[in-house]
Amino acid sequence: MSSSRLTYKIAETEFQPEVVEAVRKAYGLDIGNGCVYSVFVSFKAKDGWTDPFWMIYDTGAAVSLLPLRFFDILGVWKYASIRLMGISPEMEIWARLTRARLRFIDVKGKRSPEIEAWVAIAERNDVPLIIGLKDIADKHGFSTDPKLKQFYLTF
Amino acid sequence: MYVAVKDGKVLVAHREFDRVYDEALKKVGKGFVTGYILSGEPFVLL
Repeated sequence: MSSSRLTYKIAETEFQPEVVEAVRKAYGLDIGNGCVYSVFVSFKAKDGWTDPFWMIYDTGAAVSLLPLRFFDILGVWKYASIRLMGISPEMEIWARLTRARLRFIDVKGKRSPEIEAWVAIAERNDVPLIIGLKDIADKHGFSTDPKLKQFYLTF
Repeated sequence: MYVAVKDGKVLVAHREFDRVYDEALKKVGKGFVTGYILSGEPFVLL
């Protein structure tokens, strides 16, 4: 099978006003912008592929994370109950770990091959949509072009 | 914050995913993108 490369823009994001202000006070500097890698992902649901979801591509996340509503969207019937921890043990959420079929889509509509991956569906609806590394990292190449402010996923 | 977008227009924005997704579903049925955006993050209006 020939490889395909999907292209995404590296988005710049502003820090919260209190962060900007704290840095200005302590250092007398403008912290400037941060950046975020976001991708479009479609999931195989009960009645076919879903519309794309805009998800944060997070190389620091061990597993992908979805809000509770996905339990119905994906028609999940089998799962393992788990507890996920964030950057500290106090920040934990309960989730249902399950298998999902997904594919990446770029802004030109180019699609990746279908990928089967473990995803954690949180027991709440206010968590971010995150693409983590489990079953994803070993399926594609990742590269960036800081000058063009783009990143690429190669399958 | 979650947003649902279709044809360059924001359909719904809220901090709960289910509210955004279900309201967009009710409004347009399909063909929309739902995304999670960070503070100040620009997003593509498809």
